[in-house]
Amino acid sequence: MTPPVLAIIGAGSTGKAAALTAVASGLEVHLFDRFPIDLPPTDGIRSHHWTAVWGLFAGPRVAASCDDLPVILEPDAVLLAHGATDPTVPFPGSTLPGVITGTGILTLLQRWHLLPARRFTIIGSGPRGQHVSEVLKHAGGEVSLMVDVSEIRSFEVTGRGQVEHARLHGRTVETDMVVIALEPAPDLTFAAMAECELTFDTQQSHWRVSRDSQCRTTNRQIWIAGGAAGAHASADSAAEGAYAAAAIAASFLLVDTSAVERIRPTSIPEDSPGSQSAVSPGRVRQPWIPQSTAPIDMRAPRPAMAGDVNSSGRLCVCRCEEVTAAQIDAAITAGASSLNDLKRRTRAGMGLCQGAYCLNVMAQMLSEALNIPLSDLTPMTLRPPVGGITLQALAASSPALGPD
Amino acid sequence: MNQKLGECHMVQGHNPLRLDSGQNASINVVPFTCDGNPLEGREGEPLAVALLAAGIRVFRTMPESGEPRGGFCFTGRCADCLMIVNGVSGTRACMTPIREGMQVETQHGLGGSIPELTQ
Repeated sequence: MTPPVLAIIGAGSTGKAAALTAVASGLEVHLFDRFPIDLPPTDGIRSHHWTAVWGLFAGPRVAASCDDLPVILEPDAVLLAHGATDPTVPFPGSTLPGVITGTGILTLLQRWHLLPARRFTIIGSGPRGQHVSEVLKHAGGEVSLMVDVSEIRSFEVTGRGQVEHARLHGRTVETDMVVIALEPAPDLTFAAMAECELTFDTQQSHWRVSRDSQCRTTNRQIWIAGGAAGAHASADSAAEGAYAAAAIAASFLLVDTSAVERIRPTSIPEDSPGSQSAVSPGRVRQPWIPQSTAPIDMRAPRPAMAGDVNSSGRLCVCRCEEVTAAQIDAAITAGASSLNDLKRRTRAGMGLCQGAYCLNVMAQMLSEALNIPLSDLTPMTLRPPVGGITLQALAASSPALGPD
Repeated sequence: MNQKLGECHMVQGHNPLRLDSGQNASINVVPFTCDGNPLEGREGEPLAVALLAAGIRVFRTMPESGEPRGGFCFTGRCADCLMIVNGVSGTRACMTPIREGMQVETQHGLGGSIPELTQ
C-alpha cells in the first residue's frame, strides 16, 4: 500500500517536528518552505527549499513555485505550519525603507546572522517588543526609542527616501531602522483560501482558524498547528506540530489514537466528554453578495483619485496597493460596510500579500467608523496567487491545476 | 551621508555587522552586480540580506506614488523587496538565493515592459 501523502506548509519549528513525527508514523511527507530547510535528509521526507506556496485549492491541491518552476502536489492531507504574521499599524513614514517587521528583524539576526544597522526604534512595548529589544541589544544594536502602540498617533518617521529620524511626542531621535513588534497573530491566508471556518478570538482580538481537538479545520483535509493557529512560544509550536502529525496519521488509521493522546500539548485542550467537537460542520464560502447598504457607484471617482497620494503625513494602510487611511475613510463615508466592500472599492487587501499586513488595520478602521464590534466583521476574501508568480510558472502549472 | 553608486544608494554610517564573521570557514563569497555596481554576497543567502550587508536598502519604487521601498518582512510575505533579477521583474529579493554573477536592478513601478509580449 502506498502511504498517504501529507503536505506541510512551512518548515519552522512546527513544520519540522510535524515532518519527523509524520514520517515515523508512516506518512509520506512533502515539506515546503520559502527558505532552505535545515533538516537532515530523511527517508520519506521530500524538502522543497526556496519554494513559495501561492495557492491552496480544493482536492486538496497545493500550488507552489521554485525558481520559476511550478510545483503542484495533490496530497491526501495538508498541515498549515507557516507560522504567524505581524500585525501592523499605520504611522507617517511607515513605508520608508528601514521600517521592518518583528519577524523580519529576528529573521535577519537569527537566521542570516546580520545586524543590518545599529540604532533601532521599536514599536510595541509588550512581550514581543521586549523580546526583539533584547535580541537586538545582545547582537550589538542600540534601542534608541520604544513606542507603545497607544502612542502611535504621536509618532512619525521621517527621512530622505529612507528612515533617518523617529519623532515621538515632538521629541526627535536619530534612528536607522524602525521595527514593528506587536504581538504576532495567526496568518489566515491559506486557511481562508481553502474555505476553512474562521472565528474571532475576542480575548486576543484577532481572527483565528477554527480547529478541533485534533488540530483539524472545518475543511476536513486541512489541519493547522503552531503560530499559524495562534500558538505563541516555539516550544508549543514544535509540540503542536508533532501532535498534529500524529493526529493526521491516526485519521488514516496508521497509528492508534491513544498514541496521539500521549503527546497532546497543553495548548490544545481535549474535548470534554459528551461535548460536541469545538468545530462546527464545514461552512462553504458565501457567494458574492454586495453587503453595502449603499449601492456602489462605479462612475464615482475611485477614492485614490480624490485622495492625498503624495501629501506628506499620509498614512499607508495597504502597502501592496498603496491605499491610504484617507482613502479607506472616504470609502467608508461613501457607504462601504464590510471588509470585502472596502477591498472592492479601494483595492486594499487585493495585492501580493493578500491582506497579511492590512486586514487588522482595515478591520479596526471599519469597526470604529461604524461602531460595530470586530467580531461582527468577516475578513475579506483571500485569493491566489499569494506573493506573485510569473506568467511562465502559472502557464506551466495549468495542466496540473486543470481548467478551474 | 549617501554615496551615489550608479543607481543604487549605498548608505554610510549604518555599519551593518555580520554576526558570524570568522566562525564559518565554509562561507563562499560570490560576486554579483546591483544596477551595474560590483558587490559581493555569500552564496546561498538571500539577495536582500547581501544588499543590506552592503548598505543598500532601497529595493524598488512604487507604481503609483513612486515612493521608495526596501524589505519589510524578509520572509517572502510582503511585496516590498521586488527587484529585477537577471531580467525578471517582480522577483522577491528576500527569497532569491545569491548566485555568482547575478545581475540585479532596482525595480521601478512594475519593472518595465515584458519582452516576450512586446516583440
